[in-house]
Amino acid sequence: MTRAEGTPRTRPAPYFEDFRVGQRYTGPARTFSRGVVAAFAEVTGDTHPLHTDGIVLGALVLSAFFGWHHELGLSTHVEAAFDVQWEYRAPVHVGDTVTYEMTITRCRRTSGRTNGVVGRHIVVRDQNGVVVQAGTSSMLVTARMAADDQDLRTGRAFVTEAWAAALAERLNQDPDFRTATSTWDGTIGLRSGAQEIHFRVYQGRVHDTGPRTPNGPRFVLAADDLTWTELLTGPVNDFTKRAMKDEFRVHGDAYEYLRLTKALIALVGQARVLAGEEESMRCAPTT
Amino acid sequence: MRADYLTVDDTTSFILQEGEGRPVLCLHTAGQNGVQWRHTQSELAAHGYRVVVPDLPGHGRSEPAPNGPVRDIGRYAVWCERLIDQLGLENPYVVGCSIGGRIGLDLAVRRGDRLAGVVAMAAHGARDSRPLLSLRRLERELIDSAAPARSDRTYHGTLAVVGDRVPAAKAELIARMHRREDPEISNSDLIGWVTHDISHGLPSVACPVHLVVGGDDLWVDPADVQATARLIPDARYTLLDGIGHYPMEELDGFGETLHGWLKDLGDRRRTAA
Repeated sequence: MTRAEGTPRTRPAPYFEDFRVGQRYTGPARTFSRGVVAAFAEVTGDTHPLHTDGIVLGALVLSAFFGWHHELGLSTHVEAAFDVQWEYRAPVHVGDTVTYEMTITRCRRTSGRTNGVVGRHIVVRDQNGVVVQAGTSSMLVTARMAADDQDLRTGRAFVTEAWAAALAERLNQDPDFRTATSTWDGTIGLRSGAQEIHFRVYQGRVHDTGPRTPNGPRFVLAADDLTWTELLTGPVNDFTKRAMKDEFRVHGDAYEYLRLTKALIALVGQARVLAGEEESMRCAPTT
Repeated sequence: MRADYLTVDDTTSFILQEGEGRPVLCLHTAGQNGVQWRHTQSELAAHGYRVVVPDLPGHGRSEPAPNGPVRDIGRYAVWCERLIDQLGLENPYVVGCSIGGRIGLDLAVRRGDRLAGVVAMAAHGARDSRPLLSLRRLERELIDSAAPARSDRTYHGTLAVVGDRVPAAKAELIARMHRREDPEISNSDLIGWVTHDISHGLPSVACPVHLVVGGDDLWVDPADVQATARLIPDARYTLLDGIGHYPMEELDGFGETLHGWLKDLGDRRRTAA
């Protein structure tokens, strides 16, 4: 994961090409005064006694994320925001100081090639480090140039068809994965958010990948975009730790999932190498 | 170092002893055996302790308990009491890790007045507040066909709870050695863990206690350990940064560290007396 410590407006405003899956942004903290809370309540008409009683409106903390984003200079080339999925996990009180941490979880160029969709995961913490809000939001960002750079982004296009095909090639060369699946016949499913991809495995080889395979997956390993991003771009392969902490859900035959423990750790290992390759390709000088 | 097979509580049990001096009983973790103390025992013995390292019933070279795998931490504590009495250990220290730590705390409740002190690592005296283990899952895993890739999971599960400060080669050695477990015994031990609760007895513990937990230990919530420390009169609490669930296997020169802790417990015992 790359940390981009944002200081307001000291970095050139990013185009689509400048966003990469795994980038993490932090920036200045924000405190909500009684006056600001009252003004927001007035504007929205939500003057519920809770808000005059010291609880900051949840929507204000969310709205202030977009202010923070703009303040960091990240919004300059944003053409549209598509969606927001947001959770209020703990109350924010008047006078609390919150920080925003944003991780890029998806970058997909549109078919028109002049812009791309960037997925963001946001965590909001209070001054004690307690996560008070969290959610995702995607945005449409203008591209510097109209180009087809999908191949360069495959390594971090997690749980997509192109990614699965590239990963399968690696897995078929990996002795650990091949040994671990050498007595297995079945299909592994991976899911990130709403996207699902299957790996059809027979005796140590991935024979097919795609969103659908005959007979369907024996089990599906599911997590949110952030978990996959952290797992595949973070400093170490900590799949077991994350599984122990229930960051993944398993649908289907849980025993087959357990049986493939070693194979899944090898799969994550290769996916991490693939994600690293994307990074090195992008950093290589271009001529 | 001497090794004996002794009949303790009707179980032929393997007991290692090294050194002369103040007795220290060292208790291993779930499913493992006394080999976890192989480095510590000599280091401690050099400081003038009589180090006693048993393999609990069903573990290592000890025979299984007569009634099958033990599922009750209190049962192990009774076995330890018999061993202490049989060897004539006077006011011993007890040091344990994970279920061994829980057994140590159980002994502190049972006979703290006859212990020099207890160092309980990766353990606490109540139910887990955020349990990663459930009785139902553990019972299910006792059925072999419901426990696929058990050895792989023990290996990777061990690696996941060894601290970040531990060099990769050492973590690898620990995880490989933990694969030697008997799953039936390990699971029964863990059933003992999830069902053990001696919180009501902790306020009356009559010996000094030092609770130790690794900052990278996914199995044990430091908040639970602190809660136990608050219940025991005048207990010490130490958080080991970058260490996980097995401090005696993870830390180089752990015997030196432990000697310091035992000395502190002994000093406090004398002051209190």
